[in-house]
Amino acid sequence: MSEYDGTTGPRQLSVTERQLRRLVVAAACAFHPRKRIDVIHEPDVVLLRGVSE
Amino acid sequence: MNLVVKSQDELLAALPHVLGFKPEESIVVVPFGPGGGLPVVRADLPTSATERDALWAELRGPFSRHAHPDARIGIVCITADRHNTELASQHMSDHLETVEVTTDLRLWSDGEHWRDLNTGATGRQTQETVDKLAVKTVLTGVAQPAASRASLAESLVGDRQPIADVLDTARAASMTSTPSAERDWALGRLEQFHTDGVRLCDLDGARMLVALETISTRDALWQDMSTQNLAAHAALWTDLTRRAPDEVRAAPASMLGFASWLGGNGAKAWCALDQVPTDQPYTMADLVASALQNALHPREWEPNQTRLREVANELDESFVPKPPSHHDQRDVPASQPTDRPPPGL
Repeated sequence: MSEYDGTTGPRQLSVTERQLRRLVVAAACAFHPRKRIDVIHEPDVVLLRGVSE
Repeated sequence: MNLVVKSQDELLAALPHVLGFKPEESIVVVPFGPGGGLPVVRADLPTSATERDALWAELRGPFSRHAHPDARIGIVCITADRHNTELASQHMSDHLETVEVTTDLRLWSDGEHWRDLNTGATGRQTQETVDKLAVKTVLTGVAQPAASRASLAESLVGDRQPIADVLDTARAASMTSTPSAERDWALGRLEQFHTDGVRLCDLDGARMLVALETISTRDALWQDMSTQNLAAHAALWTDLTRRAPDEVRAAPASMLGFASWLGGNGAKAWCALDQVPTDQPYTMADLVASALQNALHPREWEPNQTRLREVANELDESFVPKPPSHHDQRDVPASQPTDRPPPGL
């Protein structure tokens, strides 16, 4: 599957795609595994605070 | 030093549960103290000055954006390479200081022992603490971490033949239907999954995957996703990503990537995007990847989603199905692209 319909060239972004794109800061987007950064938002702070009292 | 964690041993035992997998050859930045704001960040341990600079270049923006006054963090390096740990953690600490983030702890672990690089304190990682954390997370219903990042990725690869076997049947059926009818069916099937959580049969799975090829249908399901129903979406798209053959996997993998990001789980989101076939450009995947790369906080999505729904309710062509000739609405290429282009961001 791709995103070309074969008659009009590359399709435009859908509404939802545009919505996400507005949030995203323009930047080179690397797919290379070495450059990946795993970001965990809102981590379980209880876990990080330890289990023993 | 004002550590929130009770001990270095406990912090090391907690990391796999926070990340979703057991980190290896990694540098992990962990926020300490109340208030939150900063995410947990894991990256491959940089092994050269160039890589250290490159990593900071990636992290400067997110930490500058998310840091609050008096933000405090710990830096944990998991590797046998203590020399690189010293260099990488000090480099990271020095640069975090420039965005007013204080490093309370620099910790090195080789998997069995740990060393506090600031104080020189050392200790062993104990199985007792690992078990204690596991019990605690089981009791709260949290999934146990994967053995490694690679095994987390492998968990998204299942038996793809059964759906491949019925894909032609599903595609033929969809050609006798209309995009709006297929979208209504897909939304109804999603609703049913929200209710019963029962795995889609092969034919329904194939029909859903074919329906997703129509972008307005995919978007309608995407728009259904919120923090309230995230678990069901993650379950559905995980299952379909595991079962989808190459030609129809870009959409469910991207949906899973988005769901994982919305749930704050950047690692699983990357693993999901890895399941998008590399020879199939897919805009949604590129956008989610960019959100991950920029450490975009998921809370920024909901207000936009609300606005989008308001706009959609007024009028938007993407939500108004066009009459037949619906083949034109599908993302079917005239010729197969040979390479993934750079994301158009």
